Amino acid sequence: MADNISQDEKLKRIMNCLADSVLELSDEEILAETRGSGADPQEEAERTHSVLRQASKALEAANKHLWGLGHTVNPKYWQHGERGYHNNCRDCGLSVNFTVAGEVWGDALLGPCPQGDWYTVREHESSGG
Amino acid sequence: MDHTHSQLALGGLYDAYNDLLRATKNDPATHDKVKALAHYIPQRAPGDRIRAVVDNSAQNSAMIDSSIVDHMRDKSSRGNGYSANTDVVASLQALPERDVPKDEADAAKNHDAGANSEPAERDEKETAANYEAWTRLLDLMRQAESGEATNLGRALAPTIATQFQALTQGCYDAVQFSAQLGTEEVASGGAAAPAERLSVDPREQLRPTRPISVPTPSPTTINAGSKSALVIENFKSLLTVTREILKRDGYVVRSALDCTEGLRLYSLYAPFDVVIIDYCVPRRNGTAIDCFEPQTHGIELARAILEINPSQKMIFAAFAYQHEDEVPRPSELKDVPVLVSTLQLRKLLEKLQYWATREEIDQAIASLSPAQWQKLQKFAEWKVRGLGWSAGDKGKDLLQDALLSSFVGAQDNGNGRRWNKRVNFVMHLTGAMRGISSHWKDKADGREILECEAINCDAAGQELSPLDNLGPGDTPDERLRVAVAEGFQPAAERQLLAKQEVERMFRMFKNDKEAIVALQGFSEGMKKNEIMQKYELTAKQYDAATKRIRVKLLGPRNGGGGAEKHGR
Repeated sequence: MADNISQDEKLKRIMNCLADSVLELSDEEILAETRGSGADPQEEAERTHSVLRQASKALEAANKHLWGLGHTVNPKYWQHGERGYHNNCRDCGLSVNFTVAGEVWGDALLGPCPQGDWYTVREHESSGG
Repeated sequence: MDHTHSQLALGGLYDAYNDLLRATKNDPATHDKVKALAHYIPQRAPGDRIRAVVDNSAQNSAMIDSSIVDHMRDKSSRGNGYSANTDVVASLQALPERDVPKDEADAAKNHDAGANSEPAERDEKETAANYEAWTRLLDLMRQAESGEATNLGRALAPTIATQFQALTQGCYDAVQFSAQLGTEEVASGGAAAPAERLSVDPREQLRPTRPISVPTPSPTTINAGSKSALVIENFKSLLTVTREILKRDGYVVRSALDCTEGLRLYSLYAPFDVVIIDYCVPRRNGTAIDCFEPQTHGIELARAILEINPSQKMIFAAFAYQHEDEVPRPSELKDVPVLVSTLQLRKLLEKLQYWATREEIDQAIASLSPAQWQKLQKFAEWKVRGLGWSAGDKGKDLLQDALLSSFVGAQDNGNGRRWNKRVNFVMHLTGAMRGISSHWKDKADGREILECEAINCDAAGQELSPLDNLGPGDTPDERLRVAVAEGFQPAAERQLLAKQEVERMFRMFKNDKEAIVALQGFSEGMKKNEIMQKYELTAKQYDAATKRIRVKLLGPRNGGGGAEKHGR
């Protein structure tokens, strides 16, 4: 049976087992292994944390941009593409992208969502109509 | 008057009484009378006396005086002897003339008419002296009260100033209070605002120069056992049902029939574990709901609540709708769960109880230890390598995606990768990484590029290619370019690369029998125990072999640490 599986499936299984083996290590063992490879665990943790915090901020900024214009994206459809993350407004379909560095762009940011009822209502109210 | 004030006033009364005892020490008869009064004071009407002293009103003082005089008369009629005390007489002379109530004056007239002049004169003197003694007592009591109040003010001033600074989170300088707890100004950064202006619009005056963060409930609040809910529902029958369900689930429930009352209750008792808002709730109870108009009051109430507490968990009850997607909401409230049937309530509450908020995820990230970070990083790297890609940047991408999906899960209405707080956060992220890497794999499989099909067109030049499924790009060539740029390889090439990688790994450990059998077991999808059993390895041998594989494969010349990137 083992011979029938594809090569990429074999590779995936090996790597999955190695990934799981990492989770079974104690804190001391994983830190020792990291130090053994010449890296500083504290420094690496801070670097990764910083990158992730940037990503979180970038996502928040993108969402705020979209909300402000009445666009709505399905959060589970953020795609990690060639340049950062990509999504589309689920009402009007216009695209929006953001990078971890905080850059936000796309057609959705050019103007209010034409299908966004709430935005229209609020604009109407604010203009005194 | 509260109990504390009563105690203080009573304390003042006793101090004054002791002073009077000392003042009449040389006059045994008066002294005895004063001593006798010790039992009288608290027995007759202590509350009224104390209130009169504290309120310091003329009317109540007169009542005390009247009461004292009555008592003195009563004492005199029993034939108690009395000789005037010089201090007391002097005090009496200094007092303004007292208005004698009509019934008191009538009683005096009757008394005079029925007695001879000498005993009547003696009684009158005695009464006057007694009255004077009591007035003196009253004055002493007032002085004692005034002293108590000053002392109390002095004692409370630092505490109030500290509390003020704590509440405004140090946005203002320390407030200086007088002994009477008065203050003239509130200063901030050297600029002073007159204190009396605070009463005009306290919110405006107290607007901080630095933002004051709204305290967010700690992650453990929900598990503390005392759950609270606020229900804002206009239909009483639905309100009753909702209340009952919540109560049976152990919630302490407050309810309101309209937005105004709901917001008032929220302002008073926030935060709640959950706030349930009827989507069609009117601004004020009794207002007819126009079903043909957009229902905005519930939305506006939700916004107002989120302004007070951005992390407040809420549910919209929209029983008039069939599905939550039909309920119009502004973008920022799309993540508020919607209840279209009371039957969903319990399930939704349970989920809300354990779903982490964004703030809780932030807290969990901040508390990750370096060892936990290492585990996550290494786990991500191995998962990425399992897709045939090098680790390094792609490993970080996977971890980043897992974290972002947790964030959007916290915002989304049941569709994202939510962190259930009953699960360890590291385990949650590794689970998310498993899901995402699997999704990446499926995507790669679904976008296999068969080169022979890439150029198929019909006679009219219309494309027939399955490249329509490739993803972004306007033309087949463009889609092919994007797909390759994103790392999607032709199926055959991917298989070839995977075969080479597996063979390379086995070659690397050709002299390490334990590592080879471990790799063999891994490739066959066996678990640790199965491998140990099949190849007769001890746990120690297995762990050591696995470690050797990890260290060697993640070495700099083997794609570890993002050194080399092949494949995607």
